[in-house]
Formats: sequence, C-alpha cells, structure tokens
Amino acid sequence: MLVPPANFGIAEEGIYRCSKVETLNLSFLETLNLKTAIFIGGQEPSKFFKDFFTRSSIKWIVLRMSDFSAAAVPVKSSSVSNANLYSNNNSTLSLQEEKKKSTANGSQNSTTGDPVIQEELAYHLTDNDDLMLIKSTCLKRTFKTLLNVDNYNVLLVDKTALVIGILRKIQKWNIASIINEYRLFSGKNRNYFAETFLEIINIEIEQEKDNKTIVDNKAKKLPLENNRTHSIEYKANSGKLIRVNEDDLCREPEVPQRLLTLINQIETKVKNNKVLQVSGVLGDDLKKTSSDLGIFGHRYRLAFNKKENGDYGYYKARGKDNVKIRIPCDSELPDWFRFQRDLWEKENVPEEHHFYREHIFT
Amino acid sequence: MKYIPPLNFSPVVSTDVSLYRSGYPMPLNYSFIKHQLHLKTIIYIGDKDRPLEEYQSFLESEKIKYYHIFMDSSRDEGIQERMNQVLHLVLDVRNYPILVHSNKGKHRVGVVVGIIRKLLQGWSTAGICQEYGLFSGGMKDGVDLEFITMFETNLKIPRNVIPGFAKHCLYLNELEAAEGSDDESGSESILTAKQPI
Repeated sequence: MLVPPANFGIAEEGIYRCSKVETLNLSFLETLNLKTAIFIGGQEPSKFFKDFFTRSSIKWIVLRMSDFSAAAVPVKSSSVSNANLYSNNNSTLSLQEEKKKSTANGSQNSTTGDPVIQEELAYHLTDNDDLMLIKSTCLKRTFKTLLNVDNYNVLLVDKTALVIGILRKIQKWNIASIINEYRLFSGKNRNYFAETFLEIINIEIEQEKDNKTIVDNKAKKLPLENNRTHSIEYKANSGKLIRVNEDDLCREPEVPQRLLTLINQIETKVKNNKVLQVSGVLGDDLKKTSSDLGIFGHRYRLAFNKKENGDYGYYKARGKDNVKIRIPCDSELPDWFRFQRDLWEKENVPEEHHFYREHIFT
Repeated sequence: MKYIPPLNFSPVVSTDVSLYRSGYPMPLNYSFIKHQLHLKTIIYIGDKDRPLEEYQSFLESEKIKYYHIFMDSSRDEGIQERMNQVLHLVLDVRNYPILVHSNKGKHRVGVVVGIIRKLLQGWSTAGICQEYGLFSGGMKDGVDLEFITMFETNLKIPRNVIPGFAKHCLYLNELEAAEGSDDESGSESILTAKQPI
C-alpha cells in the first residue's frame, strides 16, 4: 500500500511538496524517483530515511529558518556536518548583507523627498523582523537548489507551506491565488501573519552567467566526495554506462531552438528593411543616420545583450528591501520556468534593440 | 429597551464618518437603525428588485435615501460600473452616515467592503482576505477575493467632498499619478488603482 505524505502535492514538474514525512510514506517516496530532498524548518529525517536516502543515492539538505552559530553545533552526524558547511556560508553572507544594508541606507537618505510619507508608504521587512518567517539566507539556499534542473526530482518538506508560496510570487501569481493555494495546503494551521508575510516579501533574482558553470561543477563535486563515497562510486559506474548507437551518431546535429528563433527574427527584420528600401521610403533609423553614411556606408547589427546576460524584467521587484536570490544559468533552469519567464517578458516588457555600427570596407 | 442589529452587522469606518455593513434589515431591526445609527443613506447591493413594503415605509418615514445597486455575484456583466457607482456614493461626505447591506451581509457586501479597504484605506490583501473570511465563514471566497485584488478603476471625484478616511490614500494615489502626467486639475482628485507589475 502506497501512502502519500501529509499535504502532498506537485508544485511544478520536478518539484514535489509535503509538510512532513513518516516511515509509513517510504514506499510511496520510492516511486517518485527522487534526486534531492530539502527539509525546511529544522525537522530532520529519521534513521530509516537516512538509510533510504543513502541507499537510493538521494541527496538531502536540512535548512533551518533562522541563523545559528557554528560553535554551538557538535560535529557528529552527517546532517550536522552539512549544517557546518552552511554556517560558514552564513558568516560570509551576513557580512555581504551588512555591506548592502549600509549602501541601502546611504541611498535611502539621498532619495527621501517626503520623509513622513515615504516612511508611511511601506513596511520594511528585514531579517531581524519577527514577520520575516523564513530568513533570507534560507530562501537563497532553497531557491538555488529548487530552480536547478540538475537536482530534479526534488521533494520539499516544508511544514510552513511558505516556500511554494514564495515560488508562486516569483512566478508572478495573483496574490489572492497565492493565499488561496497556501490555505489549501496549510489547512487548519493557516496563519494570518504568514499570509501577510507572503504579501509583503519581494524577491529580486540574479541569474548566473554561463562562464561559471565549470567552476560550479567543480565546487559541487567536493562536498559529495567528502560525505558519501559509496554513492559517488555508484554514480561513477552508472555514468560510464552510456549507450551510443551508430544510428545516434549518423543523425544530423540538432540546432537549438533559441538560435532558430534568433535567425528567424533577423530574417524578418532584414525583409522589412528590404521592403522599405524597395518602395523608396527610408526607415526612421536610416533617416536619422543618413548624415553618417559615407563613401563606404555603414551597416547595423542587432545586439541581444540584455537577455544573453540574464537581464530580465521578470527578475526585478518593486520597492526596497528586496530579498536577492541567485539562480543558475539558463541551461540549468527548468523548462517550465523559462517558458513562464519568456511568456511574461513577451507580454509585459517592450523589446529593445541596440544598434551599433559595423564598418565594412568592400 | 433592547435594540437588535441586523444580520452580520458591523461598522466599517467610524473615524470621521460612519459607514456600516449588514444583511437585509428586518422589521425588528428598524428601531436599532432609527435610534442608534441615524442613517442618511442606505445602499442595497443585491438581487431583490423592490424593497419590502414595511422597509419602504420605514425609509420614507425616516427620510433615508435609498440606492439599489443590482449585483448577483462578482462575475456579473457590468460589475465594474456598479462598483464605481458605489465608490461615488461612498466618496461623497454628504451621504454619511451610510449603511451598505446585501441579503445576508456575507459575499456581496464583503466584496464592496474589500474594495473600499483596498482602494480607499490601503489595506493589505491578507488583511482583506481575513476580514472577508470572518463574515463569510470561510466559504466561497476564491472568486470574490480574486475580483477584489484584480479590481481597477479610474474615477474623477470632487476634492471638497472626499471623506477624511479616504484622503490619505487618494493623496498617495495622486502623487503616483502625477509622476506620470503633469496636467492636474485642482478641483478634482483622480482615484486610480493599478495592479503592480
């Protein structure tokens, strides 16, 4: 008999959620083909689950919702050693946050035109606040793991049911629908301050660039080797068993859809320019730069700098005191996230094309 | 003497003016309305075409102005215009004290009060959901709460008759609107509610 965990649900493709796991649910969890389990709120897996995770090569992460000092934690079990790693990150992150806060205070002093009205406008949410139910450090580590497709399938064990609410906030859901979904999964444990926290918190996203993937892969391997030698050997063996058929080698290489869409956009714009030139009417861009046309002439090329650098309007949040989280580069993001982001960009952000000159001496 | 308030009765605003909400007043509630509330205006949000005969005679004897805003649910056609009518009535200080009521004081009045909390008082959505849930008993809240959060309007209101409880939010909205456009008439306030991106 398969028994799902309490408040089990599928948040997105590759992300499962529940409020807690018990030994009764173990056989059900085997059917999910999990790769990662994230425990939020300080509840740790029991001995049976640790054995199950080790046996199934599942990586588990225990994240606490508030900071703690590394000195008070004894070095005994593996989960605590995981906590030690994260506590070291805590100290560096807290220093960076203090620097950011000082610069933010400086900017606030300069921008305050009407101090009374500005202060009354919004409630400022900081880590020291009791309303900050999940601290920003926990959110950063959670979403870095949650939005990386290498960690899928992920099981998120969250008694508060708030992490998925914040994910919906990132996905630009309506606040009424976020609260409604929160109430579905929290049941009688719903909390008015949790709903207020979901409404007030703002998430700003910073996407990594493709250059860092090699470094990240190297960094990821080290903690795995330290903690689980048996699982790594298993993975190494399974990694070598890639089957390559002659038919696969004979196929033509697949061109990524992203390049195809770019080529189509360029071709359509070139056609439009040709039509304008044939009809004898110059476009606005060409009219403005007619004085620059010399003997050799100038040509212009479309530059797609913003999206290639990970600069999206979807990632920005209004207001101050935003929680900044870093997400992986485009190739490691899940498909549903990229689809929703690009759809939102198409509807809300006007396209900007930066033209630059290219000298061709022909 | 004992006064019996109407079903689901509650004050909504009681600072400089008085705005109340309730279900449909019954004859046993008329003495409460007469001696305790001293109403000037009653706004009925509901689907009954004509008021009860005793209700009609009570309104006439007490000289209370009666407005009927038809509303079956928040999914009606033309609901936007009717909510604007309610906002116009609520934003005129000469109409106070006001009682806004529906048949049971749950969902339709809850939607109107939610819009007032959002646009005129700047409440958070979680607070609006909580208050709506108190009166509705936690039922049928999904569509109405989405309607409240998605409701947008653009009204022009004479500045000198705005009640005090709404002035702060309207002033802030006007500041935000003035950033976009420099033309601003001095005699009217623009009530603009836009969804954040």
